[in-house]
Amino acid sequence: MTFWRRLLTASSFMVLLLFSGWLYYKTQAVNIDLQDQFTPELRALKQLDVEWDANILKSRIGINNNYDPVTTPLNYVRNMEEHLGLSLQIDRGNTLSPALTKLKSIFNEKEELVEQFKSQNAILRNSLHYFPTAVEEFNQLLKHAVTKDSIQKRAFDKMEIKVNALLTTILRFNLTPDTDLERKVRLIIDAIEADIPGYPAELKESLTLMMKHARILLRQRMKEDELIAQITTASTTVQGMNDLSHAFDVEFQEVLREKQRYRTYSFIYSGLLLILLAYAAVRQAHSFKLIDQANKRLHMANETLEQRVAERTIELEKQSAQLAEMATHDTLTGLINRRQLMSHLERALLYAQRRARGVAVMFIDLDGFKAVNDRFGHAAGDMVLQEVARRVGSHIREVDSMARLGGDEFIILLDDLNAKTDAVRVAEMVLRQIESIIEVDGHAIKMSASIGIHSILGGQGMQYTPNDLLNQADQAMYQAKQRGKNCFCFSDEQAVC
Amino acid sequence: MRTLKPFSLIALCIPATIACAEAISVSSSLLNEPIRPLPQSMSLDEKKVLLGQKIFFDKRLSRDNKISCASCHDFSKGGADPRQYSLGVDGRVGPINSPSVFNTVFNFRQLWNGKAQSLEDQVEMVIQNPVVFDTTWQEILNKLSKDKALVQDFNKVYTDGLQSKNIVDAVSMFERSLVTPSRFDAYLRGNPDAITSEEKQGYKKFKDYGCIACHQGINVGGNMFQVFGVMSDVRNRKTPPSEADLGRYTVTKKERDKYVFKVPSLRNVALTAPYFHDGSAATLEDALDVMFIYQLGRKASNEDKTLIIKFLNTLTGKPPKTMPVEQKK
Repeated sequence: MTFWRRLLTASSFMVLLLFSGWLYYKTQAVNIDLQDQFTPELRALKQLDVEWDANILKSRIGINNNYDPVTTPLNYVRNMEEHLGLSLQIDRGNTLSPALTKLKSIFNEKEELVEQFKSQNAILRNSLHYFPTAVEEFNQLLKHAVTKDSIQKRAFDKMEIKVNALLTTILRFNLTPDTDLERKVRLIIDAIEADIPGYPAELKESLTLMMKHARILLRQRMKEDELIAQITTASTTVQGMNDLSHAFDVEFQEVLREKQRYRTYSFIYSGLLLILLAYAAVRQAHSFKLIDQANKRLHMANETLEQRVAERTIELEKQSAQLAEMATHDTLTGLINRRQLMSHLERALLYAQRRARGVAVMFIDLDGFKAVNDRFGHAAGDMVLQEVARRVGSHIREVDSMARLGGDEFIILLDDLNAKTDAVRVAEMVLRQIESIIEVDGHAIKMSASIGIHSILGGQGMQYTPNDLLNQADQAMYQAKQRGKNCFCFSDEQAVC
Repeated sequence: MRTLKPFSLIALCIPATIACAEAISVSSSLLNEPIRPLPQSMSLDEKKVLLGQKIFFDKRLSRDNKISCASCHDFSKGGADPRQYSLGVDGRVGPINSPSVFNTVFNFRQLWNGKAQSLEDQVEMVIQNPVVFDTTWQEILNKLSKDKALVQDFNKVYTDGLQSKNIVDAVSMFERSLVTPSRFDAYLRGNPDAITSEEKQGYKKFKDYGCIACHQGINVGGNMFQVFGVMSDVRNRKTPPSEADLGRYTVTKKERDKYVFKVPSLRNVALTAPYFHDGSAATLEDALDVMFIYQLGRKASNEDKTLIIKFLNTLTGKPPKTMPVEQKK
């Protein structure tokens, strides 16, 4: 049972954890830095494209004396295209990929145009460079080919003029190529070419070559400017790059929105977790409260128990005190019993021995008690006994002890005794007191007692045992009975009645 | 997925910065000429270069284990093939004369017709070309993977070990290292005594006659296409014409690309005879004549031609530093 509960708790915890991990992954899955990488890259590409165009124009007007500046950008363009390709990872709506493909094809077209431009430009430059030299060389040849024929000389002069005119016109055309000049150049070339057959071999060859170059200049200039226009003014690359930039922005916004969405989910999820946590806290607080209450009740129960134990202990103590009393006292009269008396006797004997004082034991037996018992019942008898104990007991000294041996037999131990006369006085008091009981339970009675006294005097204490004392006193009591009751007898003397 | 390779704008800037730094450091003395000097050194991964060198001379790259890259790129002949046509597996005769492998890193494209955009492309192409190595990567990898020492070398240099792309990379790295600065580069860098006065005159003629229109830039060519036969129809040169004579047309199938070729670099040209795509000019003099007739449409005196050839000899560079020893067998 607990195993399954634990398993359930652990797996719920895992599920919660995994879910939050998934949400976190979703908010982080998209590289936000992509924009920081894409934008500068595209900017760099634009910059490069502009520089490329500038270098093409520089080649056109002859500032660049080699084609490396118009060739090397291509490697960088390819590199950048590859880097921009990394942005495809955010292409959700599939607009980036076509834009990039379009841009690549635009650059491929541009590359082809640039290649053509380089080829054309090289040819044009060669001819342009050569043409003035060619004209000069021709003029030199013309000078050397001095002829006496005046007609030919005039033709030569005319040709020199034509060739020079061609040079200037072609150079003008090269600077500002327009159809007017083109037509003009073409006309001059046609005119010169028409004259070529009439010239000597050397001049013919020179003219033919010159005209080839002239036609190349004418053709290449137009071609090249067409190419330049296609390359630079159409600015399709700019359009392509702007399209790509726009596509990226659109996709990136979408990505940002998605990220934001998952962030919201995360937020809601943490809120739910918080509520769950709060619920758990409340539950726990409630449990604590219950435990607290139970604790209090337990505490109270404990206290009650302790109190009851204390009460019970007191009761038990009382009972045990009672038991102790019962062990040493007579329950009916409250006087000490035989056992207690024996210990008092022992103590008294020890005391008498040590202080050299006297001790007396008085054995009292009621006369006619049996008759009262028989006539008025045990209850009346008990009352008589209690009355005897009360009356006699209240007249003896503190240091003396009075005991009931059982039945109607009482003992009085007189301690610390000076003389026998003291015992006589007590015996007379006892007799008087017992005689004074004249009524019990509404019945008139006559009570008396027979007393036997045994006394020892100073320093003799250790010669007797308590039983010796009792036996001696008992025998003295019998003497008193025989003497006629209601009197006392010393064990060593004549009875006094 | 998240750890993108950082956009290497920085990486891109590095060559530019180096170029700038170089330009600045030598600007005081660098001549403003249409020909630009080679860098004095290339910063490359030495381990890859050495590994590439091994592959370059490895005949197991061909189907019949008889030819290597070096078979057609003779390092004692300026990295080019001294035979008119290069021979592939089974002695198959190729359609062209192999151009030099030296300084090819500065060519804007590779092959006579510019079919390969990069050195890597070029390596890929010769592997499967039936008149060159006529094999497949699978076959090559099967053979090379039995060579434990080589496999170990690849494992040391590349994290993913022996792979076709790594073979291509290593070979092209080696090729990048084959740069041959010459006396003329020293001259361009501002040492006027690096070349003789005759050679200087030759250079002037080279410019005056218009050769410089196409043979310019860092590689004295190799940065553009040009039609063969600007001034005269090249079809008249020889019969019958081969498909290779059509040049770039074989790649693009565009009419305007007929007889168009990559302008070859003239570096080490004195060593790389025979000349042209078809090896039809046995000497520099022959080649010069053809150029004057078909490209420049001009005539030059023998004196001038001799001067130009003297200049062309200044383009012969020091052989590459990592000059390997050819494997016997």
